[in-house]
Amino acid sequence: MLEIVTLQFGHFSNYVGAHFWNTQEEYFSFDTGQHAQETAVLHDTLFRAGITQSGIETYTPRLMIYDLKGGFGSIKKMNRLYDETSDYQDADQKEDWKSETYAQAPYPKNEYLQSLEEEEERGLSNEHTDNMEIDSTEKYFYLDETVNMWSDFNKIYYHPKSINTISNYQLGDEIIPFDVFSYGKNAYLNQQKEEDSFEENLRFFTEECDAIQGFQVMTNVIDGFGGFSCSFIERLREEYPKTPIISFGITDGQEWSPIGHINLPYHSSCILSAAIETSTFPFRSRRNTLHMHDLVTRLNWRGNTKIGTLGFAFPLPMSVYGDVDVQKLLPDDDRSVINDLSFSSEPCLSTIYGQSVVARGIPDEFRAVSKVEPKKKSSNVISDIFGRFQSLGSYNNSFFATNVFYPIPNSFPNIFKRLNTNGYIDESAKFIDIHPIHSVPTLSHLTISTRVHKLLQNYKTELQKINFNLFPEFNDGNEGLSHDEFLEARESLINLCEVYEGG
Amino acid sequence: MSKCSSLNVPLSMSVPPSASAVQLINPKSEVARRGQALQLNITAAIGLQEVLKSNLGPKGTIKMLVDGAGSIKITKDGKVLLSEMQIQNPTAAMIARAATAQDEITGDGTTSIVLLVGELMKQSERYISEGLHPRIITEGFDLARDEALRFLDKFKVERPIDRELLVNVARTSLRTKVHTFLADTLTEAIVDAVLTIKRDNESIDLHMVEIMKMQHKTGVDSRLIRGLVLDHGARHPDMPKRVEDAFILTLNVSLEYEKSEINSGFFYSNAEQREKLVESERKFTDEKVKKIVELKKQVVGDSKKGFVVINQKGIDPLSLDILCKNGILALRRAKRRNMERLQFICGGTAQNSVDDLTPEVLGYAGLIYEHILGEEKYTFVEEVKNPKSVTILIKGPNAHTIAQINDAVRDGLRAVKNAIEDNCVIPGAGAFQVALCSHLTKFKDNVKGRVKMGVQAFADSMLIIPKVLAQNGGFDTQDTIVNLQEEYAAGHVVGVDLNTGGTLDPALEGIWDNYRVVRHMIHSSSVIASNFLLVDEMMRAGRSSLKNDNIQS
Repeated sequence: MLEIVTLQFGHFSNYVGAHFWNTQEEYFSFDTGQHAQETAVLHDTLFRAGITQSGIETYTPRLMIYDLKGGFGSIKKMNRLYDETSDYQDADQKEDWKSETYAQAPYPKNEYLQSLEEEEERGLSNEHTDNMEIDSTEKYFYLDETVNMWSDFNKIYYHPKSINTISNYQLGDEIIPFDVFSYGKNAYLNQQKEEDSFEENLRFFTEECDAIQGFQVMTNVIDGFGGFSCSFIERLREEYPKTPIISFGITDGQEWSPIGHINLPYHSSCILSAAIETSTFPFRSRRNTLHMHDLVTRLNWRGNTKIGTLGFAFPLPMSVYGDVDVQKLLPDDDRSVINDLSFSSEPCLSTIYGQSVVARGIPDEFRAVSKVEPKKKSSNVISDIFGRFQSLGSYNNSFFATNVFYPIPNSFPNIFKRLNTNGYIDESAKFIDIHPIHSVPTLSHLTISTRVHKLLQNYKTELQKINFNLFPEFNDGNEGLSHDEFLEARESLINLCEVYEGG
Repeated sequence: MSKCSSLNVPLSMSVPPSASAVQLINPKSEVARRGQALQLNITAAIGLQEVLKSNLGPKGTIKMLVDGAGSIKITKDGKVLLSEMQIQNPTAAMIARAATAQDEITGDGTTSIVLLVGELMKQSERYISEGLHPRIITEGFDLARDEALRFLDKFKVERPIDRELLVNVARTSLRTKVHTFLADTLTEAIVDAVLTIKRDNESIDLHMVEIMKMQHKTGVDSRLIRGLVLDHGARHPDMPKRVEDAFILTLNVSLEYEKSEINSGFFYSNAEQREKLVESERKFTDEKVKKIVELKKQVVGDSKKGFVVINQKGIDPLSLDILCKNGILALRRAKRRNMERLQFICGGTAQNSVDDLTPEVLGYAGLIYEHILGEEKYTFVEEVKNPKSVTILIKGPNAHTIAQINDAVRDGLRAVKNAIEDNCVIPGAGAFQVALCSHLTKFKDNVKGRVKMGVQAFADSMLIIPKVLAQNGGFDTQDTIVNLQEEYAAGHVVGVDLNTGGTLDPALEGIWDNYRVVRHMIHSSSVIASNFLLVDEMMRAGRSSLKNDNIQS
């Protein structure tokens, strides 16, 4: 069945994850009648069917979420699907047992969460309503001011084993912040000792996989979660020596901001999420499935070039008759519609070892809206696009095109301008917020190239300026970094740099 | 971003009017100085003490924590409470960290440390307000601590560590964490678990006690299983659900079809070639499975014996199918640690390859059966000969009850292990603290100078333990303390009787504390308190940051 297990480490990565899962939910078709179409997406790749002890059937992601104490907002470990009745009053409070209750104020629910709750109440009270007149997917929200946490726009239910808290640290704690790599490594050690969620929870998801395709990881990299996920992935490699792992290292903030005007985590995370969603789409596509293993070996055919960069066009600008300005597709061009999400240095010529292009939302046939311009055949559009990337002279290519658009869930921020409801360019739609956008065409460009050299070179230069002795916090705890280990790490970075030197 | 908490120690730092040296360097820092800094620390320590006070002892209250999402946590354990609370006062947070570190080392005593630190600070406050320098007090603490540790070595009770004594130790620990009726069901399971895994002249490895949780029935259904419980079952519908009289093969070998590195799309030129490659790789996996089947045929033959494979790596459906057709029950993705446990439970040797399979590597179990609860499957491996590893099965009606029992079991196991390794115990119920207070008061007379006030403060602080025990039992604190001190002066070792408010003989009642827990408690509480007493300047300033000026240019 080729299952994928997803791992999310860190608060911002969970923002990205929440968008990702909301999008997955959009693919579900609840239409089971005779008109039900075969879905374009193999849901079972990311999701698992389960059953609770009280007999409720569930369908939840194969997922491990890690966040700090206080980082889950309104999300409950034992959610409605799994919740035992509130029997804590009786079973535990027997006899002379004195108890004190400390209750935090319930986490405030914004408009979106309230609407989800109402919808659910309706669903429970009247399961077979035929006239779903106020279907909440038709409702649109403006959540910029009420999203304070990823749970504020999270739509789906998670399995209790997916919810994992790093309990030694508190989200937003200024006294003991979780902001040092070695804190993360120590936290992993501690959590392995205390709960061992690797054995207890991750194993739960992998044990039931018949033929696991791989792991996809979204992790914060510059705070303590960098260290945490580093330790976690090392262990993962040990236990699953041949299973592919694709990791997206994520940073929150302005550092990577080619898309300068977007500064809310709620916004920036949606772009990263869409890029990750698009580039990994072939793994779970019903048609022309590309397995993670095949993609990894194609991109990293040299075996030692494991770091890539991700570019993303969101939307892929396409007119209603299928016009795409292929001149603007290449990453080396100033006018490129593709944003490099990995780093924003000057465009430069590079040798590409491997690239994977995923183009989505190119319909099988374009509707002839106008008589003036001839409509294009989609096969031509696709070959134009891929031809353009072909010209980059990569050693190895993986091209994937699909008519499946990137679906826009109603939890998505309103960030698009001049698009019609299907995400095609529509110059007449000058004002945002007028009409909802259901989906957009996207294009992701994942490459392994000599550009990575420049990225690593920057790190190297920064690292060489650092006087390690000024940062004693990196030395803390069992997993603390000694001065020698610091030098060793610097050395391996320099070696890594050379790998991408090209020539 | 962060939620406000219901358990904040109500304190914050304020900026003093006078400028300090630190402010000259970093004008943004907030600074509290001298008396003010000390006052902040003392209030924080006492604040934290107030929160944990009601936890202490079997009559302490249970705390139910409900977070913003409505999740429940029920606990009586100081360590659990401190890690669940959102402490925002810096001093309180540091005390909490130091106190929970105690739990990591010895498994118990967090609440006591917090109470002692608070009390040491409170007692010192009186002397400091009368003009005594904190340094003198901490010198007195040092003297008192060293004497207390010497006294502890005289006070400890060395008697044969038999099962009865261990049951008492476990009960003392558990009754402070869970209901009495629940504690009593768990006590014997815990002691027997440790006694089973204990080997002569080796330190006790508590990892050899597997703790398995099952959301099922009630807490009192928790029990000891002389065998192993795995949290998964067979993944093939036709595999047997119950196997008797079985050979056990413990494996760490992948039985999954794995693509090799070269099978990546561009090394073969046509589909036929690809097919061939896939086929040969499949064959590789099948060969491995065949070797297992051969071993099974060799040892089982025509007999009715069973054959069970427990593998740490994966087994794919095709391999499962071959195994199933040959009457083998196979489990995949077993916990790493279960590989070791299985060897101790069933015998045999875990194998990392199928190349050298011989009958000698096999273990044995009389009964293997599956139990299903919702989507969770459990496999019980029981009726084994002379196990050296066991499972404690924790049951409970809901997640928070299970979590609470789990914490208690963990502490109970540690208490039993400590008692065995210490080879001695300390009379509990506050008896030691009463004796120590009296001893230090006498010791003080030999100390010259103002340092003796520090010793006295230390001595008086020890009484916080019996005081709070009595208070939580609903008795008059002064009455109880006076009774205890009189009895002790008359030459009896006595602790607080929580049923009457009077005194009792801990040895007679079987109330025993761990030597190392008490030792560590004395040590850390005095160190923590001394550190905070000596603070005369507190500042809030930004930490050195990679982005600012700490990079050498």
